[in-house]
Amino acid sequence: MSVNILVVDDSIPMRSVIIRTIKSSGFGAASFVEANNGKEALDKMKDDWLDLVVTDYNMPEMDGMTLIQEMKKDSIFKEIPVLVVTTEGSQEKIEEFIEKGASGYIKKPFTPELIRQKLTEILGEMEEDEGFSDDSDDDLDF
Amino acid sequence: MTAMTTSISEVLETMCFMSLNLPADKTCDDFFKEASGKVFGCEIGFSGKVNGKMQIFMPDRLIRTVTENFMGQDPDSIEESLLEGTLKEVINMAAGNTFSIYDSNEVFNLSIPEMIEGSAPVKTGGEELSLYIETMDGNMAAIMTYEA
Repeated sequence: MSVNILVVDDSIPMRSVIIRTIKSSGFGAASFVEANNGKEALDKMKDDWLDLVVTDYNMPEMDGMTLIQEMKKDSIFKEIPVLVVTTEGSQEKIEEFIEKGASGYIKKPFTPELIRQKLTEILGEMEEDEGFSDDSDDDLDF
Repeated sequence: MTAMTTSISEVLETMCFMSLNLPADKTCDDFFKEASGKVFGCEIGFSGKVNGKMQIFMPDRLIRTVTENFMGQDPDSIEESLLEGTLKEVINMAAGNTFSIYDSNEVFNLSIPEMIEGSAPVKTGGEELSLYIETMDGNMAAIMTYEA
């Protein structure tokens, strides 16, 4: 089992670099689902069990802030932590992300070490060959 | 100038594992005089405490290496749309990072990056900062035009 991460960004190169950086961060086993924008992300959430959403802010159709707001309206999706990856550097914007319900944020450019630190803060420590989902069965409440 | 230089260095060093050198005796015009083959140009607008645009230009060989390092892909298998996508991400990160270094208490709005037709600088009014940047894999140019 591994952590299942939904990576949301309208840029194929950026989705690719986020996935590559998480893989190389040494965080632990992870599998990935990709979405092009917030709207597509909400559709993907209906199909896959997710442990974390990593999302860009500026995207066409539905941006990262709206995605978080839509997730918070859903009884299941609201429990999924969201990490915002953004070029926004102003303190005002960062506070707005957290206020709306983001679990954390990473400013681009980012290092594997920073990604690992943020994932650990949000999901906890993991071994290389085990995932968050392994331990989560007891906590499931359907 | 310092914020833009630091920002571009951080983006290319952190995300593309490339170190940069800024020769004091070269200007942006030298880049366009020396460039041979296809040059990719991209621009992004910004508004806030200052308004203007940033432009970055890279020759084909350099943008292929940047994309290879950025995405972890073989450069020969990279389609042109991915080269353009990578350049758009580079300029997006470089602009966002420039303004957070310049003043993190101010909100700057960035436009969606766009490729520049003709791959030559689009001259606008106002102040101009320009950089000639050397890398191991080729040289590039960065230009910021702005009005306070």
